[in-house]
Amino acid sequence: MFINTYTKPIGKRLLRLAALACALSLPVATANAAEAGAAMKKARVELGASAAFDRAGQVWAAGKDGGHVVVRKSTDAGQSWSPPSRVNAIPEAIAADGEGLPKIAFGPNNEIYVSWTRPLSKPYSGEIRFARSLDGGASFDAPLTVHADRQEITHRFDALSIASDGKIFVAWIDKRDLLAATAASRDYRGAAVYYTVSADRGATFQGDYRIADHTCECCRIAVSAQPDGDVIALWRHVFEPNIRDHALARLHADGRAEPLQRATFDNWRTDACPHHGPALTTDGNGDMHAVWFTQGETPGVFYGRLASDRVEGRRKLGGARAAHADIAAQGNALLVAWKEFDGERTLLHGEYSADGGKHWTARELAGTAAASDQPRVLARDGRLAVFWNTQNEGMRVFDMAAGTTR
Amino acid sequence: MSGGNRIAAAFLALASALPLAPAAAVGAREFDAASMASITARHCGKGPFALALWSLECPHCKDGLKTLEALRRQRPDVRLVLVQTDAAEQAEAGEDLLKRLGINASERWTFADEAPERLRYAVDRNWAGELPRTYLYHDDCRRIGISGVLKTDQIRVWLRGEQP
Repeated sequence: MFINTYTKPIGKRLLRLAALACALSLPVATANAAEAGAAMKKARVELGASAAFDRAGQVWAAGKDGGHVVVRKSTDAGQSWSPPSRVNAIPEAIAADGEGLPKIAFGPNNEIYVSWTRPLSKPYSGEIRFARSLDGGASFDAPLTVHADRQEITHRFDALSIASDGKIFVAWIDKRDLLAATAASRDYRGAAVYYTVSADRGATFQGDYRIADHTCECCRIAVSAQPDGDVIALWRHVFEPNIRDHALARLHADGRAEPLQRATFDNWRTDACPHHGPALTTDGNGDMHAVWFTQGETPGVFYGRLASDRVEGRRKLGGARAAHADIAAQGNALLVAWKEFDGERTLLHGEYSADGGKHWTARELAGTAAASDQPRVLARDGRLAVFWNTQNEGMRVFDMAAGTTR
Repeated sequence: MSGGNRIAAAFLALASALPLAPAAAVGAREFDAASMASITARHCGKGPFALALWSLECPHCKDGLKTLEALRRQRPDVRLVLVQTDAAEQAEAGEDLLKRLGINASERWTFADEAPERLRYAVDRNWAGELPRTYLYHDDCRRIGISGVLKTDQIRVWLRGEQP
């Protein structure tokens, strides 16, 4: 048993008593009172959740309840939620914290698609899971693993995108190439990003298509469906030698990924895990708008339009502690949300633009005193809203454009 | 009942109230918003002191921890305090990893069940959470925060008493 260097005298006495308790075969969890507290306290609440509008404009959220991904529906824009419906009947490990969380999206005929990462026993390992409901959420088919590679290695940080023709794209961070390189005694920067596509409403997936080598290991991937049926992915890359700026690539449904393009130019050199991935949206003119975090030449969270070889209109969002921004577009309208801790509370901020990002209106939307998930911006049929899951207040939806909290 | 017996009774009551707890027998203490002040009060100004934050979810943290262990072996006078930033139920897995890597920091902490941004703020209000994150303290309690795996020359400069 580890003995604390700074045990107080009473702690030493407890240690002797702990030894006695061991001899009596009593369960001994702790060496002192402070550790007793550590052992007794409950696990951190896993708030990782996402949400989407269905075709009727109702909000659906996917989150975690024990070994189950659960979905809930709100018919009153987030004021109340249905009881949770289980997606996977058989419990399994589910990532629902920080950058890894269950995703939900709707197909053209109101199919409900859910993806998540199932951590496996080895460190960093996992597989990408997918389940669908074709009856409006009354039942879900048994989940499947979307990749053919079944090594117990990293397949994590799933991203789910429904293409304009209804095909389902799932992208994820994958370490098979790192492992192959290591086995061959070759150096390999970072991980890789892969994707797979379903053309049959999620019955089967074709893929394990590599998008790029040398990606950052633990940042969420952003995906944005394009009008032509392609999907664009944006991720934190590791440019030589260790520059953790972003790259994007256009993914075709047939498995061809176009060569990556550098998307951000902050020149952040580090061998660290930011756990802080980007977000991406495409407006009605086809312009791509992104939000991202960097500790490069100017640290912070930024908004910008992604041009072919540069960022236009780049500007900082919030202050030094702005974090985990999301963005979505509907036509010319853009909505950005992020959270920011002020020393006492975590505040939810929103910025709305009606003109493709030329002018913005900023508002503080909410705050919370306890733990909170990353905010998500929802978009469909001209509507934009912010979804935020917090430990104290639960799941809420905010309608920035209407100027009201819903 | 003597004072000792009362404590014994209290302890046994505590132990029996924890039937599910043995698996969580951890050597890491709970790091809450007040812990930072007690850590710095105890360590800074008493020789070279490094505070290192790490997570199981961070592949680079393993390299960072190995670097610090190598430093600790070369310089036993360096005070090394580790803080694991994962959810509390990961503390045992964290201890296992440190054991496997041969990391021998005598003082280890693990994030309490509080909003992680509150705990990060207590460490450094301008740290965004990237890992590994190491604070190298000088004798006058000035410190520098370094994100990413420490480099040998950063350590050398610090131990000379200069700003890395």
